[in-house]
Parts: sequence; structure tokens; C-alpha cells
Amino acid sequence: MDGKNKQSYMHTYGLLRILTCFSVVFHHMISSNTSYIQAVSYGWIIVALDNILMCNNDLFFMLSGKFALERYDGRIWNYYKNKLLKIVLPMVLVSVLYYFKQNGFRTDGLSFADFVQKFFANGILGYLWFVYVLIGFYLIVPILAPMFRSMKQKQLIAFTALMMSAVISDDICGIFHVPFVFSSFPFLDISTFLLGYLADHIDIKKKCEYMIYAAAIPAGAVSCYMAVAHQDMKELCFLRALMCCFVYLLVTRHTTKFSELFGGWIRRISNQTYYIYLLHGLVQGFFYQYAWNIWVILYQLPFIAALFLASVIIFCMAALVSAFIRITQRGCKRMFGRLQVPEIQRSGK
Amino acid sequence: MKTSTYFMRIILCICACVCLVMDAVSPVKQGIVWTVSHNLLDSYYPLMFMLCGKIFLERYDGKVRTFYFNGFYKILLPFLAASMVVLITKIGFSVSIGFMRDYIKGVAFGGIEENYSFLYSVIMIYILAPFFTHMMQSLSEQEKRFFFFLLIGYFTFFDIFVILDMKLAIVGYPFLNVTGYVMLGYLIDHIEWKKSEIRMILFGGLASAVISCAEAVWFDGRNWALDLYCLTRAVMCAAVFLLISKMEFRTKSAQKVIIGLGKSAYYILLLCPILLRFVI
Repeated sequence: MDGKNKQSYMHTYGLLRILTCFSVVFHHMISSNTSYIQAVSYGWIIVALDNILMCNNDLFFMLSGKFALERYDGRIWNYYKNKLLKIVLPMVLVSVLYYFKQNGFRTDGLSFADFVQKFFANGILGYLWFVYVLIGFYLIVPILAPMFRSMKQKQLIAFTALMMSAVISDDICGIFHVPFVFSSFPFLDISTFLLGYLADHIDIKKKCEYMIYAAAIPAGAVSCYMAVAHQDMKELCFLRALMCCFVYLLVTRHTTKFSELFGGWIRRISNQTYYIYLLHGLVQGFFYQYAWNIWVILYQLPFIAALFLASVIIFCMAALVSAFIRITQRGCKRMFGRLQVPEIQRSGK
Repeated sequence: MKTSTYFMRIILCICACVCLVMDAVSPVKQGIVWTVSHNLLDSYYPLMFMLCGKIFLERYDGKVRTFYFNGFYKILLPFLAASMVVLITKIGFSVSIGFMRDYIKGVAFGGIEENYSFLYSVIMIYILAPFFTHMMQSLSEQEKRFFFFLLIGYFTFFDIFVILDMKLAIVGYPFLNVTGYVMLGYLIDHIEWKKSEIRMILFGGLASAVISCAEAVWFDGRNWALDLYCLTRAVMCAAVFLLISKMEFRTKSAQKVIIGLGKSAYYILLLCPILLRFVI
């Protein structure tokens, strides 16, 4: 892959990250206002749409799995150090921020113990569950990456077939309320992570790709029907996996021109999606407190309000986070730049 | 396969049978001796998966069809036959659709014999063995060591959460189940341990056994992960596994007896619950 192709290839994934991040924020905007959904006559449309938006988690997992398994370079400690700085540290900072926002600051030492206990049990911010799952997966990437890289096409296909049959069996057992005897299948919980990698590394032919698209449409319809009519039923992972594959393949393979056109914007926003995800709850709370009620009272359109506010959150936060990163990077450069010993002094000349 | 592997099969088979008998005879715990012995003998379960890891992953030689065919008639067929016998002892034999339905349903959902539940995990591990072999063969010595400590470390991490009665949020880790022990079994055998490291593992195993027994006697019910996913159990099993795998049997007659008995260990394990049903 040459430079230009690689760039547009990365832009399509960037676009998918932005879409996924948008659907996370949008979903949280909708789901935090269930009373409105129940009140309006077109509530079922919102529920169905929200069900489709729920693919966001799996799409994020697919992207994370793909990039984690692809980019691991064999240096274990370097890999963990990077993940600690990029994933865990921002998460800890955001958790501290939320914790003090919720409980206030105490200096008696109790707050620290309480914070640690809540932090490890994901008791501070519910939606951070995603990051905890991600950390669990990142732990095992140095072991899984060599396995997947050394697999041939046939082996990758066999593995996908095995994994999907486990997912389907688990779903069937869930429907009939019978125990799934192969529950210790280790890749069941991380199947979506692996699916992202597999979808990119298996040579999916055009015909097969269109078959996936064709299967995903009824899968989406059934999933939406179940979300509207049978909410008590177990969520079927197989249908969701098909829907995710549909979006994943569609966006990453058929939006090259669009992604090239808005490459700069896509790159800027997609680089900040993780931070947007971490912080969106805080901003959403603010919007929900002040802007939401005014909008709904004025226009009676909670659905459009959610759409509009989610877009505002994404764009504003991307701008703010990138400005913050740029300022801190410049500050660090200045600080550490001064501390650096000139080359001539070091060599003793 | 080495003689020590067959010897381990025999030891595990004995431990499993004794445990089954102990559970069947006295389901309620009785005294310190009962608790300590049951706690130590309970190590057969993780050890069995460790042995599966070693045997299956070493057995796979790249020929998928032969590998699966061997598994079919050595593991699956005896299991299906034993399940049929158990069902017959339960409801009696009849050539009817109802009987076949009960049989298929029982085998598919694990309802025929509770003690056969581990076999489903064994079958699953056998199916996954070609992939696991691929994974292990692509790891360097450093990565193998890292994986070994990651497995033990995660068991410990999980156990701390259990003891503190907290919910574990980091759930995307795939080896917090019996496959963790499968990997452990293979790794112990394929890491080039130094003598000092072997001594440390053995000493750790001994200390773990003492701590585990003390926990079982004085803190009963506090740590529900004590039987399987905890540091003491993992280190104890690692020590026993290492100790037995380093054993050597020099006399040919001893080798013959051990290999002969070892080969039939799986079938004895299958028949044990059926015999127990008759005896008790």
C-alpha cells in the first residue's frame, strides 16, 4: 500500500471512529430521557433507532481489536507503557474529576480509599465499563497478536467460523433458557474485538461482502423488532455482530472518496474520539441541565434535540481537546527543550 | 508421551475418584482432616486441564483431520457411550423417539450426569488445540514467561476482588476460566526453568498448600474462588505439575504398568460416576 492509499485507508477508519463516537453520545442523550420516549407517539421509532445505535460499542471494540492486534510490535513493556499513558492515565484523571464532582473533596484519607474501591469496581462512572473491558483485552494482546499474525487464510476462516458458531450457540441457549455447555470458550467475550481484525484480514470477496450486507438488513430488522416488542429477551449477539460487520465493511470499504475529501477534519476529530468518549458525560450533564429543557419546552422535539446536542458535543469537544493537547505539547516542548543539554556540551567540545 | 505424563493421569484419576466418593458419601464437611484432604484433592480439577493443555497442544502436528478424527474416537465416542449408559441406569432403555430425545437433549445441554460437565470443556479445548498450538509456537521464551506470570497474576487479581467482595470490572481478559489452566500446563512444560526457579515454584507450592488449607479450615466460604481461580491453587497445581513432570521411571516393568494404567485413566474417570450410582 503506497502513502496516499494508506492515508485514505486510515481516513476511512477515522470516519468510522467518528460515527461510532457520535452514536455513543447520541445514544446516551436519548437513553437518559426515557420519559420523553414513552410520552411521544413515535417513541417506538426512537427505540428502534437507538437499538441500531447500540452497535457503537461493538464497533468500537472491532476497531480497538483491529488496531491493537495490528500495531503490536513485539515489545511487551513498551506496549504496556503506551497503553498506560494513552488509555489508563486519562481514564484515571477523568474518574478523579467525576469522583470529586459527585462526592466533593475530603482530606481525611477516606476519599482515597473509597475512590480506589469504586474505581476498580467501575463504580464511579457507569459508561466507563467500555474502557475496563478494553484494558482486559489489551492485557492479552501481546499473546494473541503473534497467533493471529502467523495464521494463514484458511486458519483465519476456520477460527471465525468456530467463534461465530460459539456465539450463535450461546444465543440459542439464551433463547431457550438452557445452559451453554461450552461457556468456557475463551474468545466468546472478546469475539467482537477479534471480529474487527478478522474482517480486515480475511480476503472477503465482493460476492461474500454483499451477502453479509444482505443478511445484515433482516438481522437489523429482527433486532429492532425485538428491542421494541420483546425487551425482556436476551440480546442476540449474532444479529448485532452482523449489523456491526455491515457498518464496518460499508464504511471502511465504500467511503474512500468521501474520507479523502474531508481527510483533514476526519483526522483531527478521530484522534480525539477516546477523550470525547471519556468526557462526554460531563458535558452531556451540563447540556441536559440547561439546554435540553429549554429546547424541549420551545420545540417539543427531544429527538432532534438529542441529535443536535450530540453533534455540538462532538465538534466542540474535539476542538477543545485538540487545543488543550496542542497547548500542553508546546508547554512540554518549551520546558523540556530548555532542560536539554546542547549536543556540543555533551560531546565535550 | 512421557511416562511421567501417564503417571500424572493415574494420580489425577485416583484423586478425582476419591473426591467423587467423598462428595457422595459425606456431602457436608466433617472436621479438619476431611476439609484439608478434600481441599488438597480438589487440585485434580485444574491439574486435569493443565494436563489437557500439555497433551493436546503437543499432540497436534499440523494434520487437522487426523487430529480431530483421533479426538472423535478417543474422547467424544467414549463420552457419548458413557452418557448413554448413565441415561439407561437413570430411566431404563427403550427403543423410542422419547428416549433418543432425552439422550440428545441431555448430551447437548449437559443434563445427563453432573460430573461429566468438565468433559465439555475438554472437548472445547480439543477443538481449539490447533489454534492454541499456533499461539504457543509463535511465542518467544520471554513471551512465554510473561504469559505464565500474567496468568498467575490475573488469578491473584481476581481472587483479591473475591476476598474483598468486589465486582471485577476488567472483564475483557479471555483466560479467566479453565483455559487459563490449559495454558499454564503447556507453559510449565515448555519454559526453560532454572534450578533455582524450580526450587522456588516447589517451595511456593508447599506454602500455597498450607495457606489454602488454613483458608479452607478457618475462613470457610469467605473466598469462593479458592477451588479454582486463585493464587494458592494455581501455584500449588504448578508445583505438583512440575514435580510430576520431572519424575523419571527407569525400570521397564514400572514403565509398562504406568503406561497401561495411564491409558485407561480417562475411561476409569468416565465409569466412576456410573459405578458410584450402583454402589451408593
